[in-house]
Amino acid sequence: MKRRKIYKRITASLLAMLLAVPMTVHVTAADSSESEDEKQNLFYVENFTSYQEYLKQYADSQDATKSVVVQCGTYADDVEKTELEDRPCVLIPEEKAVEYQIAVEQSGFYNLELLYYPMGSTTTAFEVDLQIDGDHPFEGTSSITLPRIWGFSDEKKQDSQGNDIRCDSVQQQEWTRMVLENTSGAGGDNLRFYLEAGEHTISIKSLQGQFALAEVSFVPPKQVLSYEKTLAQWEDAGYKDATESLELIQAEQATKRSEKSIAMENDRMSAATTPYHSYKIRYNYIGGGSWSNVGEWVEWEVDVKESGLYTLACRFLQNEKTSDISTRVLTIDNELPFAEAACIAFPYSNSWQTTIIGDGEEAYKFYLEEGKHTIRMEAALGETAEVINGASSILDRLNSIYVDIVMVTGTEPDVNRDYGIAKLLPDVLEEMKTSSQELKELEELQNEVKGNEEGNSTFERLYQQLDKMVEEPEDIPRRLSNFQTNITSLGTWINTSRTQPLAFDYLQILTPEEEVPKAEKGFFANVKHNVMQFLGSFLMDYSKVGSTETETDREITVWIGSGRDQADIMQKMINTEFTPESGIGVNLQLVGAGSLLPATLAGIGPDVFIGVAETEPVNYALRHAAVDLTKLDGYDEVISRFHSASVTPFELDGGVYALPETMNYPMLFYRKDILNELGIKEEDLTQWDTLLQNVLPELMLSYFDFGMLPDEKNFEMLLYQHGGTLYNEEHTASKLDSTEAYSAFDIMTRLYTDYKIPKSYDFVNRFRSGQMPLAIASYSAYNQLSVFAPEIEGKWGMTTLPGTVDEEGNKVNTAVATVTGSIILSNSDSVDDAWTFLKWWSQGSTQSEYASELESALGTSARLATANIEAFDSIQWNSEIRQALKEQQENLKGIPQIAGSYYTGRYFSFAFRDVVEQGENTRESLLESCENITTEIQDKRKEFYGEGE
Amino acid sequence: MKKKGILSEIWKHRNNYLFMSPFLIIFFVFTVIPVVVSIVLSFTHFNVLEPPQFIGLENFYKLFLNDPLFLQAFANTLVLAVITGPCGYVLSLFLAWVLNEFSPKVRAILTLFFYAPSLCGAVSVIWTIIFSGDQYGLLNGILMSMDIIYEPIQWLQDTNYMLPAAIIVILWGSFGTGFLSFIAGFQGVDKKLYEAGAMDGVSNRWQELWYITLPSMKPQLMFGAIMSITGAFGIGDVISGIFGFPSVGYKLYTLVHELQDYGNIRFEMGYASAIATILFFVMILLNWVIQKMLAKVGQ
Repeated sequence: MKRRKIYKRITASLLAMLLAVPMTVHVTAADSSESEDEKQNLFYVENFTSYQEYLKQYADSQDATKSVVVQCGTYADDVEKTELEDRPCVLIPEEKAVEYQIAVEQSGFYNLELLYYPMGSTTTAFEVDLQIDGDHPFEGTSSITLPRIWGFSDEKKQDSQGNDIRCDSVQQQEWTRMVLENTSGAGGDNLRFYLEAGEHTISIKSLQGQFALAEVSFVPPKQVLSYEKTLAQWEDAGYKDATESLELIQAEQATKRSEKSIAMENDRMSAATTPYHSYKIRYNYIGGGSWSNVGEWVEWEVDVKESGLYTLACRFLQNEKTSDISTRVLTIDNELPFAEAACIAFPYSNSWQTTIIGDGEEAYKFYLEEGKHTIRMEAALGETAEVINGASSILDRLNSIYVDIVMVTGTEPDVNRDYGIAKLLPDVLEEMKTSSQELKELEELQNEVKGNEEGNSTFERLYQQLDKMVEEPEDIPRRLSNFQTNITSLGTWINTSRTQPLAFDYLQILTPEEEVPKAEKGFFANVKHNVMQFLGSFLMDYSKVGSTETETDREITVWIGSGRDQADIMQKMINTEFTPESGIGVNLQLVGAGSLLPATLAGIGPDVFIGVAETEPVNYALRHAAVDLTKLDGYDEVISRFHSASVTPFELDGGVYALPETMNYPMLFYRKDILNELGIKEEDLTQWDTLLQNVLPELMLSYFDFGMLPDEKNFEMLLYQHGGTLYNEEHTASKLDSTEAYSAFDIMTRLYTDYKIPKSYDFVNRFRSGQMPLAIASYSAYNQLSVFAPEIEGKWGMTTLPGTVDEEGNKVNTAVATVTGSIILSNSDSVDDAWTFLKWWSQGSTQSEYASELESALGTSARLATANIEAFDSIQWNSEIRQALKEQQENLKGIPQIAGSYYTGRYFSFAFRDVVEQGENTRESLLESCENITTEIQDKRKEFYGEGE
Repeated sequence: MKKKGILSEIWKHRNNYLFMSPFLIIFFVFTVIPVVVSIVLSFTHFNVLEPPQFIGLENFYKLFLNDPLFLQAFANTLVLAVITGPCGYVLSLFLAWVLNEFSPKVRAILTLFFYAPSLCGAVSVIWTIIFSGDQYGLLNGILMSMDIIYEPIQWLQDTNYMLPAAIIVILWGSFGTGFLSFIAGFQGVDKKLYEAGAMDGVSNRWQELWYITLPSMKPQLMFGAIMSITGAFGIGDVISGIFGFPSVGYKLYTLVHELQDYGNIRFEMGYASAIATILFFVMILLNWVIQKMLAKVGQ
């Protein structure tokens, strides 16, 4: 007892010393300053010039008047050339830059226009990195999005009950001309590149997807006149008002759109939405939540019979942005008819509205020649663009202020202590002052733009708090957690303000005399609509929606263990794709995984179960209850769709008893801003040695945590990285008595005893608050963070796991996969049909469609962790993340499941707790566990293989 | 002759049997038959998915002679049952007695308040937040802010704290049907008896309780005791819900866990049935003991 007290005192005094050290270190760190080469090893947070600054630099320059065009297909270099639709072009491969020398005659501003041809069949848009003279001219040019162009197939299908079936999306492979746009502008705003007269090098690299490029042209910016002037010109030219309006354009019949996910939808809320049916499914409008990102557009084609001036009416629904507007840019034949068309506002209402597009008082007239034209609506930020951009730069600054304070106080400061922030961080206080001032200005700007005095409560809360913190800096620790909450809500505000959801029922080109069409039907029509809808609910079998064949004699039962939405989407896909093709009916049921065993026992189990835990298939296989898939035909092709690590848990004695369904694996998450501030080098994160020696102590000095849960999977990760295995080759004994296992277990336990990293925590919350700037977590946390932590966007990353170096000097950073699988039960009497179903379900195209349907229904946070490699590639990761994920996949292992393997996790956890909580000997605990596991394995082998008797 | 006698007896009281039949059928199908099946299965090797094989008493030999885990589970169950069973029982009784003193409305509210935990089964999971090992877990957070502890305690994984934590959780949820029947019992006591008792020299509330109240509510006491002892021996799900399955170091590993372990994880249903059989007979024995003990109340 006494000894313990002394020990405590020593630690206390040591701690006191430690507390004193970081203060001095941090003050000096700020000015003793990072020399240049030191900085290079830190996280590369690119410091771009913002577009605004870029424009300011060349404020006095003129617009150019002459174009500079590079014909890529005939340009003399050693890049492979080809010809597509009679146009010579070059293929831009992934991750390889193509360079062009151009001679510019005239200094001035240019727009950049690309003529490209989308290739490949995936859904992800192209991402391009553009450099001029070896440098990114301004922010955003490192990742320019070129959309793929999508249309709907003409084929109209209905199911057996007379419901519409959604038209397939078809990629339009054609030459597409696109002028690069400023997506952070108000709308209709093309990016302006300044080029001096003389030689320049343009380099274009595709980060994602392969496409063909025919022309790169720098064109002089077009001057767009105001409506007043344009109209005067038209009238001068003698254009007359048209006399006859055109046919209604059903918006869901769009000819082109920039994203596959902009979907046709079914509305039964209103009796006036056309095409109409009171209770059957009619796809009768387009967009809504699926059409809300800036830059996404939809295009329609009109055939004009008579040249003249027209107006444009539409019926729309904007019920998502409460008391706010959604903005669209209207272009006709790819050009703005007049300046005002760049910013057309659609106000909020919870029901459908109709309008004739105009300035609020007077309808705009458009001149249309006889012949075909395209009308395009593109989402844009609108009038509040400036406020949003201002807020996001303040968000940036507030985040770094928060990190600066946390460096001194930690995220859980002692509220009774005066940290002397005013003395330590005078610059930070100054920055707070300016941020508060800027927020007030932004609020005024917003009022001005919106023409009201509503203000912005998010801004208000922040600047009031900032003012108080500047006034009483000694209270900052008390306010810190609330400050973080307010920063988060600013981030959320920016994100919601950026979205521009809007749905269209129809567009109509009218003559200027015509009135606005009515938005809703009359009272009696609505009554009839509601009554019919109610009665119709008795007639429709919604579980059969989409099935085209009513009767099939072959039917299999499939159970799925995930959620209701997943099952709905799956049912729809089965009804529209699988059953018509194969003639096999599928009875899909949503059942908890726990019911599988009793149901199988009772002989009423399914033919297929999708989504069993990775431990289960082998358990069923040992008892001859699961079908060995290797014996089924086409197995080799099917299994090649998956990473080998995801198959490992399903292997037993040469057979494979399940197909992988989902696969997850851990990655290393890090906060760039905090690690930079601490001076932690990126290379130190790649190895456990350096991580333990250099990084963790540094984190702990500043009260930061490292996150890694003490679970079996993380132990197995360390074990594999040390070259160990869980079982011997014959799977007859545990190998936890090996030296490799000991080293892995030693590191594992030391992390919690010597380094005292937390044993349980909530990763997402601690990561966003900055308390845990470095953690190992499943890669799906990436989706959660990207949705729920908007305030730290761009300030964190995800990279491959730290590893060890083996004897040959290779880096081993194995990650351990967690998978779920689909099994065919052996008491199924239609194994072949079940196998046909699984073959269809596990193929890349099905899985990627499922993934994208799921994501558009439930959002990014529900992104599917599909085990199918092809489908995984089709998911819209950003290129940096995709690369990291792919790299980790090269070093991925699965956990073998054997008879009695459930004992491994159990006894690992016992040994771990013995060492960490009870302070028992590491080696002894591990050996004891090993013995117990081996005994159990041998017992089980006796049972199943009749060994050892 | 005698057989015919029974049948005609049944026929004579056919209306009674008809009214009993819904319960009897359900009782047989869901209680008696499973118990019998389980006893039969305990003599077999049965891996759930393939037909059982008869192996005689082998399961029982293994259980008592070759399975240290069973003995540990038995010991744990006894410890938990001995502490939580009687404690929960006495606590329920005492609380019911106290509640009986309140006005009916207040009593109804308080009864609901105490009965609610056992009403909504899985709700005990809220204890995982209270006992969370995170430094922001409720208990850890409070203790750390009061400077009583400096490092978060792993209440649910640290073997030193697991047993007390489990006992608290179980007692919290022990005001079940037994408790309700006590409340009903207290109200059913004839008021005249108290007056008569006062005349006969009962001088304080304790005497009143022991000599009048309790003897007049023996049926409820019996019911409560049986509920609490079966409850105490059937502890399992509450623990797995909070402490995980199996709990660290098998510290809270009960017979029910052992049963689930063999039944659901190892797929040895024959062995699991043997455990269930033993559990069944232990409970029968205990019920007999309790009946004997309750006969002494008020004497």
